[in-house]
Amino acid sequence: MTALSLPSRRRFVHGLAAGGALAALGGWRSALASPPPPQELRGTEFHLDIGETPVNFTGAARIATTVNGQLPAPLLRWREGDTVTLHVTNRLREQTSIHWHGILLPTGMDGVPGMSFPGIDPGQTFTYRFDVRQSGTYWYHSHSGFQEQTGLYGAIVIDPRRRDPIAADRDYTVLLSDWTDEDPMRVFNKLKVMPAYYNRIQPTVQSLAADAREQGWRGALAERLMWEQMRMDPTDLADVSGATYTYLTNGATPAGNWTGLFKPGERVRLRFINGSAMTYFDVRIPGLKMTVVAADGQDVRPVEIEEFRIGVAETYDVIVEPREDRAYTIFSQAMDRSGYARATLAPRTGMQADVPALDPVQRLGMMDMGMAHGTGAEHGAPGKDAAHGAAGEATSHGAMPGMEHADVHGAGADQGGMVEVRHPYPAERGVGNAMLPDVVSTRLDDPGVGLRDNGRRVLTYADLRSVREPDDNRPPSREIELHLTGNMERYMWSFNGVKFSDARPIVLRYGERVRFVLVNDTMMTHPIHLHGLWSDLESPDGAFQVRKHTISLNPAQRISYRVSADARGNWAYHCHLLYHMEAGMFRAVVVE
Amino acid sequence: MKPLESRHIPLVACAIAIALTGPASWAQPSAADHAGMDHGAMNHAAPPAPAPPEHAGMDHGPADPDGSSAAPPIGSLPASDGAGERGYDSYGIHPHMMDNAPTWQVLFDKFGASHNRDGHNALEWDGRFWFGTATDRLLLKSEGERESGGGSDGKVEAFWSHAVSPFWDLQLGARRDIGAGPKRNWAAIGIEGVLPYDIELQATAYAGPSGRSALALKAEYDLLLTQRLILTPELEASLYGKDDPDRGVGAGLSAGSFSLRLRYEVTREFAPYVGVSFERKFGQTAGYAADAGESRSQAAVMAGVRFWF
Repeated sequence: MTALSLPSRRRFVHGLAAGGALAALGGWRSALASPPPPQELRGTEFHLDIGETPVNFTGAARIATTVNGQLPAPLLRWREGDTVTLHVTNRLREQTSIHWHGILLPTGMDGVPGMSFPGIDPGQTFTYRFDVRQSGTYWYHSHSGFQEQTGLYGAIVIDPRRRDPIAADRDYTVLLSDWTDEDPMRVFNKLKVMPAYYNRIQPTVQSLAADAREQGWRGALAERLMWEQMRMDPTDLADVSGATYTYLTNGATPAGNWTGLFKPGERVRLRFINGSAMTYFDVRIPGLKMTVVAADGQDVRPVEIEEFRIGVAETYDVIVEPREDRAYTIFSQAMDRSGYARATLAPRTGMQADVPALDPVQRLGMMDMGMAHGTGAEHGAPGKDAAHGAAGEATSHGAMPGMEHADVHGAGADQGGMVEVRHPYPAERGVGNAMLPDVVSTRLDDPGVGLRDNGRRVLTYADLRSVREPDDNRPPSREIELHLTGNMERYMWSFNGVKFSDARPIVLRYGERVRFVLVNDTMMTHPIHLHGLWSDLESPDGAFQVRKHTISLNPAQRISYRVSADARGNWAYHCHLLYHMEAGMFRAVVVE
Repeated sequence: MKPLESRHIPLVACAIAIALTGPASWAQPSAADHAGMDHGAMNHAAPPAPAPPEHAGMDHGPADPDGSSAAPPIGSLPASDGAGERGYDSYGIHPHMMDNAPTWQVLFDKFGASHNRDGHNALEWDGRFWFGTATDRLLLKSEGERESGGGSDGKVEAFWSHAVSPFWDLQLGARRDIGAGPKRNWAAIGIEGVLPYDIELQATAYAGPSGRSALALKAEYDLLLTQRLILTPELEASLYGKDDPDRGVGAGLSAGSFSLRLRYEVTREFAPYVGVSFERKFGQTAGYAADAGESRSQAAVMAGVRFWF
């Protein structure tokens, strides 16, 4: 049993300076030395050995699952138009697999055991071979058990065949991830036994008193009672937190401080990848504006921002142009503010800049629970007055933009708004779903809980516009409506209230263009990933906006995207939060 | 604190019924359920004629700044859950998911000693073991006390616990009384779950040979003072259908208790506690107690550890 006692807490948060794969480091290095950059492999033929490697991130020796002894796995550099061959050898005692996240390929090369191939047994070598038909920033990871949590993830950069329109003097991948010293199976079981196990920001009498100082006892108490009446927790921002996680940048702990070098005046391209099992990060580089130039590997119209949230499995390419001869901190705080990953951009090795304090925790609000307030709807529930009182308090704080003036019935066609939502599936009212929002937001310009009104220019999906329109940009001919459902109390996660084992595959006809409409019934943020086919995100009025492979939904949000069924076979479709996926928030999509 | 009286039982039952009816929702069924999309369209819509596929990813040409030309509004197209007619087998899909994986827990809510007003010491326990999935579990429970003088009282129960709503389990099983007096056996049916306002409730009805019946109720609430310091008020009541002088229980409301425990979570799994409890016997049960030279009400202090693994 890992005791989460206080003395070890600092080490979890900051990690060891020299933490990482010991084999790669050849022993301990002095404090503030960065581990070597992940090995880069180039070409068309690759040998990847999956094995176990001793690591030490927190002072406790552990075994990680690695590729060629590296954590993260080596950066794979491909070229658009090439055919790549990857020999993957399993040196573990259990089955393994590699999934090439966001890559278009034949279904048999997609690497999901039981879905598109049998998996790679111990001692076996599986050869993946496919044409590279795209360019940009992607990643790869295990799709077997919890190997993704124990280190099996790495970056893929595909250089375009023609000159890259995004010119940069330097080019770094910045792979964010979450490390735990615990056995992931233990983590999963703890969540099932006590879903709030890792939540150390739960509402308490102490926090109630703090709220009361801000908004008065009446309002604070009303808000508290409203949540308790619903049996919901406004602090359920992350199922697994810094109570067990150490957050890594390119495999380095915050104390280890991965550093990317630049010369003042250079254009630096940072390819952010969130290879976490469970952690959303809010990323900023104090002192630098970032220009987002690509999302999920796809070029977008440049947009200048100061901060962005990166959902699990998403990628964002940004350009920064540091002009001063000083260091800058790449600060990636976990969405629940329980810790952060940290790295540095510096003109010389060893330089470092201030590390900002974690932002205060922002709790879930009215917008996140899909609650219509001020609409005259009478609920007759004892919590009604409390609910409305709290709503007044919350909006007076300006914590929820778009809510105060949102008109539930007159949602703007272009920006979206709050719309009433039906819950058509019987199992949504079953054991596996604890929430049925009345109204959901269709807005793409809400940065989500924790980033609202923080005084910084924060990227939202509304800012993302693909440079190129999809070749197949026909309007969709039908809709598949899926509700993201869950019951935190029992740690159940599913689509439409039906977990993977109990569901049937979603069937698409080859060549058709379908609109997926996702409604997030839950109070958590979920990154939804469709293998093999692009997800062409639509604006709230249903027009094509940006092409992605992973789409994140805020609590009580509705989002739609188009899918061209242009690749036959079986494809995985799931929430990319690892423990949600394993709990059953997963479907098979069959293109036939 | 007034002890729970029998006239409150219908209220509790009513609350249970409300709690069992479904997920937390403020949805006015009339408003939310008939707005929006067409009900009939949710079934399997005929897929449209296939169009020639194109290679995604090989994009050319600038995006239309206003999005694509025709954008049918969301909700205007035939809609379904997308599920085909056939299952995984017919597509060669073999789930490797852990969505049916069982787990287990041993939890002792109370494990410690008490010292009452009359100067008697006792060991107390209230523990459970469960094994199973999110929806179906084997549940073993035991609670009781053993006094330093040798007297003891307690019960052991075994249930199949089945989820019937997001926050409620229906429990079917059996109970055996242990400790002083004849060992009574009971068939048991109960519910356990979370009421609005995060109040945990267990209500179990029992039936035994010779027409015996009983009802046990327990409600508790965890008040987090800080992230680690937790105050738990707990109310318990037991009712019996007929007198059982051999075990010192009388018909009707037999006993009620209220306790307050303050625990400190050194870890989630290990939390020492201190507390106080007040118990009162009613009706014939109080009579039997008086006959045995015991007082009808009792107060005690307790200390112990709450732990699980």
